[in-house]
Amino acid sequence: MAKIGNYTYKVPNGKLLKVTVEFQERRIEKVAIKGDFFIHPEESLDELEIRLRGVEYERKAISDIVGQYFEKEGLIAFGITPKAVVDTIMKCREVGE
Amino acid sequence: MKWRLLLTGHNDAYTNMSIDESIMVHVGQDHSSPTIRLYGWSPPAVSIGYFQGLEEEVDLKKCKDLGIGYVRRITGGGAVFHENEVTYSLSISEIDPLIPNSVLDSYKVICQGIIEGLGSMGIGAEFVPLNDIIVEGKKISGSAQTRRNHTVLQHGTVLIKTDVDKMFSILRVPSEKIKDKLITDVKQRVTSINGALGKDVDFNEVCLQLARGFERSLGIELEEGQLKETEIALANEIKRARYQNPQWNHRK
Repeated sequence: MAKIGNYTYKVPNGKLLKVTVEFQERRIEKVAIKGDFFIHPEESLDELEIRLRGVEYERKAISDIVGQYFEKEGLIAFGITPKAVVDTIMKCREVGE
Repeated sequence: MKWRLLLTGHNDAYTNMSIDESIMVHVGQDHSSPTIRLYGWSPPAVSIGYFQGLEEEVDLKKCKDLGIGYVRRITGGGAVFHENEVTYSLSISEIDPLIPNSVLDSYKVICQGIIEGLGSMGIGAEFVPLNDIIVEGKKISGSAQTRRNHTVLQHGTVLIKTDVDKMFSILRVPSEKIKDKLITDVKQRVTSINGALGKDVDFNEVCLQLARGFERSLGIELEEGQLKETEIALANEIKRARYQNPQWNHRK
């Protein structure tokens, strides 16, 4: 059975991060990363969401993808950090139903 | 240096956002001079940030009942209820020496124009990174910036009058239980031109003072102009394709 988890996290000294994860057993089906943060270029966040599809729902795999995304050349982010994104995605699993 | 000043009056949310984007495209293609636009919203509307969930942030049924518009911006940041305010937008090439390369620094440089404008109205305001302007600790203005095709678009709001209760009738809060407390908090944290001065100031007067503020702070000369025909045509195209399109507004 597919589950959906929602979690809202106030990034310390940052913005509000709201994540929704649809997942099946040990695999992520879909992630939506939302909030009042800033990322330049804006469209790039879609790529991260797409890269997270089908990934195993465990911290290491997710950290690698999120980390790579934030280190991409030219990417600028305010109010959001890679750690906050990973932590919030992981929280969604705990609260998912 | 001569820049263009556009005073486009009050328009609906879709029109306002499509005009800003069309100007940005024209400035980026060197078809238009650097531009500062000052405008208002009619009907009042809520704009949400690029990354926000529409239905998570906004009570759409309430908007409909109250005749309030809604739109997703191409800039990040939070949800803003636009009613009694002057909104500014500034479009300039990213390589213009007036604009720092760093997004962080450029917010400060651009916001200085608003601080100058408020100062000439007798309001002592200061910049707080990333993108806020405060008066005696209370927020009076917020801004958001995007950069596309080597062009900077920064737009933001300068509050003339606040109606926090109305704002919270359409913006969703995490829980109904804390709603009253949240409203009280926001009332204490937000101010406006009328609130700071204890008198009513006219929309056009605020526009005039902000325009002069930008002239002084940036060392530019603003010449009042009009939208070009091609800018209006592109704005209409962008409006249809993006801002009026449910797929855009509901994308998150």
